Amino acid sequence: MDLISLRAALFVAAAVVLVALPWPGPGRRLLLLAANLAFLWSFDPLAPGIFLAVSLLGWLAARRAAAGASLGELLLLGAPLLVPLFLPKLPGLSGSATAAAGADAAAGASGVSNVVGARMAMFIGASYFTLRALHVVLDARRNRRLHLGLFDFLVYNSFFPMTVAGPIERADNFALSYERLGRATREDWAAGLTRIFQGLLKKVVLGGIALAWSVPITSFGTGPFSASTWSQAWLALYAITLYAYFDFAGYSDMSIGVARLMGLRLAENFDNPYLRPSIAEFWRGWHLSLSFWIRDYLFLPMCGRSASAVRPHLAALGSMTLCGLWHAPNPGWVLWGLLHGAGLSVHQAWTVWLRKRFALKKKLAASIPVRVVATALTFHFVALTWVFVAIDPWRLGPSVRYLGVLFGIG
Amino acid sequence: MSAASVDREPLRSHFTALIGGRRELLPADDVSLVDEGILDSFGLAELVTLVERAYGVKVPDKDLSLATFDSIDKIAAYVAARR
Repeated sequence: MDLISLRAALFVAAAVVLVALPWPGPGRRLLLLAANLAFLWSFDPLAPGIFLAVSLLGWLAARRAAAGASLGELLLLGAPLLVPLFLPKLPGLSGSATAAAGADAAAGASGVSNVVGARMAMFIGASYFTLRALHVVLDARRNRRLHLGLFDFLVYNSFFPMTVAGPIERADNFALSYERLGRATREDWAAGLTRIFQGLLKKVVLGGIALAWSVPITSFGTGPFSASTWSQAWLALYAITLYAYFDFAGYSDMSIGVARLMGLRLAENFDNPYLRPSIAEFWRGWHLSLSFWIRDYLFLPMCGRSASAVRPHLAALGSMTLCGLWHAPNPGWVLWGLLHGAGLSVHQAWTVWLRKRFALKKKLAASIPVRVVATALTFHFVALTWVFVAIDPWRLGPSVRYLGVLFGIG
Repeated sequence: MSAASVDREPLRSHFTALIGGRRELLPADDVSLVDEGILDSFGLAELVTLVERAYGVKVPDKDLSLATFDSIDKIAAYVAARR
């Protein structure tokens, strides 16, 4: 299903109205689960079956985790969950023809689909519902409890506004407003419609403009509009950087808005990421649900219980590389992850040095010119990392050549 | 055990070392160490190791969050609750 279409709008309208009707017993939740599965089916007839297999396995593992099962048992149960995380993104396994065509249509160009549209070209959001299932397992292991019963877990994990590109909403947060399902107030309606409008503005209008300006990078080395001068290359890099934000944040706005129309409150997923003065701050504003997942379930466990000054740096590199692999197991995304991990590590070394000069640190933090320069540097660092996934993430050569054009080398 | 009876000196010494040994610049016990830029995710493991060693408490994974250890007061309250 093309997300920006009359069909999608009618689907959302019908789901919102039906869920708001006075259903007896579990009727409302049953109806929502049916709508969620129908939404998955619209991308691929196999999708509901795969979703149910992943979710039932995740649920079983979560139950065992809550009951205090050993790590070995959980690894045995949870190992199959790693398959939908990576397998669908390998060449030739990028989902059904419909899904791939939908992604290209949405992204407008095959190169751009590597940045954000890859989230759609992959197997009907499998990596999102798998990450949510893994979160429930890991959370159950830590807290020895489950936030949702099996039926409600299925509703949560398949919730259609979160299917295609997240967010990776936490089950405990989802459970907070779950009682209000189908009981949206006038305030919810106003807020929900406003967010949907903002999302459309970002995704369709601003994203569309940015996409048009990014052709010199998305078609680099292949088309007649390929960047050949440094000014073209920089302009296209800024455009693709903005496109990645408008497209993804716009989708998140619409997810939050549609959920609000049903009375549910999803957590925010973006918070001005490109206006942040450091790479660490960038990750406190970009794809927050993924950022929290990485921090809580990869980075902090990798840090362990250690006074070692080196280990958190290795944990940053390791967790961000896995983050890149999660996006897609190819050289471009792995390098993207490594660069972000290295950026976090270097920023931390700088922070430690500056913290020891605490008076200077406070003075710099209060300086507007310093914040402007730091924000510009962070923006450019993030923009340059997009180069490795925006052209052809399976081959680094074109990306390196593009960097050469950007900096007037070669 | 109350938070007031927890010896805070190991915590103050730890955070003072992080800011270059300038005890006079260390914020008050109720001030957010995260907001002050003294504590972040990178320093959490080291702090938790200190808390476990200095106070003899076990910090489970579910408590590994900046919110739990955001100020000296909060850390003292946590230690008091875990003992």
